Amino acid sequence: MLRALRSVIVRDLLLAVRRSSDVLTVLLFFVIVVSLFPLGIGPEPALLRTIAPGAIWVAALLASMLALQRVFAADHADGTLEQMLLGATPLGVVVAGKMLVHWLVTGLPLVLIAPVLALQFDLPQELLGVLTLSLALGTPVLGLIGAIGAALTLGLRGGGALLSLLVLPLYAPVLIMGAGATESAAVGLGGHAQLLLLGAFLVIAAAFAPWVAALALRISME
Amino acid sequence: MRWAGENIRRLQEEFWRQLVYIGHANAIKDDLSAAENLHVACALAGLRAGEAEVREALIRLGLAGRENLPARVLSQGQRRRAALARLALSQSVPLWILDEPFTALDAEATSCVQGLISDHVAQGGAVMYATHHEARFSVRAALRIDLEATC
Repeated sequence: MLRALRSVIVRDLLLAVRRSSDVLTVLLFFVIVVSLFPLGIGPEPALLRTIAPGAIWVAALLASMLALQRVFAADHADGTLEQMLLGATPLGVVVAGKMLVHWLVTGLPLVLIAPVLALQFDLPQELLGVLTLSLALGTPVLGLIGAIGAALTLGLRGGGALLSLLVLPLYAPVLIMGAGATESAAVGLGGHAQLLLLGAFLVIAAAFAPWVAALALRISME
Repeated sequence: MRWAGENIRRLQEEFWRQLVYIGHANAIKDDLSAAENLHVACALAGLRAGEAEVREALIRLGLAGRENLPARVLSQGQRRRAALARLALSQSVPLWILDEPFTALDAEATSCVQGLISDHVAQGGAVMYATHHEARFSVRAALRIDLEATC
């Protein structure tokens, strides 16, 4: 079972390396969307500082939506998904491996570049740590919740739009806690409560989402 | 549907472990080489296959010298052969279900796959396949269903 898990992880990493344009698209999308806010709102430092956490989090949400549509689509198109469904390894384990790589190639780059982008909003340096930590805890949750939606809408016509409608409302608690962590740190309350809640979201999502996504895959492949 | 008296929906992985299914789609990734594709397929199926065995299986299907090329540059027939190379490593798996295994294969590869199927049946395995090609096997027991005749 662990051999299959390792093999899926190595395979997806190899595919990401050999097709790096997919990874770069998500990262560039994130950078551009975040950069549009200061351009559109104008150079008013106090206002920018206030909206920074929210703007960055909304951009991360949208970037994660963009990445989601491809999680299972390629495997579905070339028949690999059928083999995974009929494999000797529990499907939940395979999905967990795929989600780990998905976060490493589409989530982690966002987390790493977010502090740099936050400088455009004149976010104080002491808040950069909280912002990065909240994204590091929150983006895997986005991917895990999204995987369930991606599995359910697999192979549907107009699946992309439907996926957004299904998944974006579920992202709301993560957005509130994620952006809230930096905001409450900014007013001196510290972001611990929100970060701990994000951590709890992550633990619950990591434990259950792969199995639910596996079930959803079986339903949409019937 | 039952396998050894048990409902396959209940058996799940127990049943799939004893099944090789090669469908209409090849399950070959364009960005991976034939050998890497075969490694992944074996790992998902729970088969243990080393470097040497994978290479041998690909050579048996006539892909000698092309093991490490990305599947993108292989022809349709070569991709089909890379997918079917899994059969050469699956002789211990009792049930094979194949959908049009001979599509896009030349005469040489077709006879190679027929050889694999005959060997498997001779060792006591079961093969179920659908085909448009006239295939000749020397097997002990075969049930042939002609869909055009029954329509």
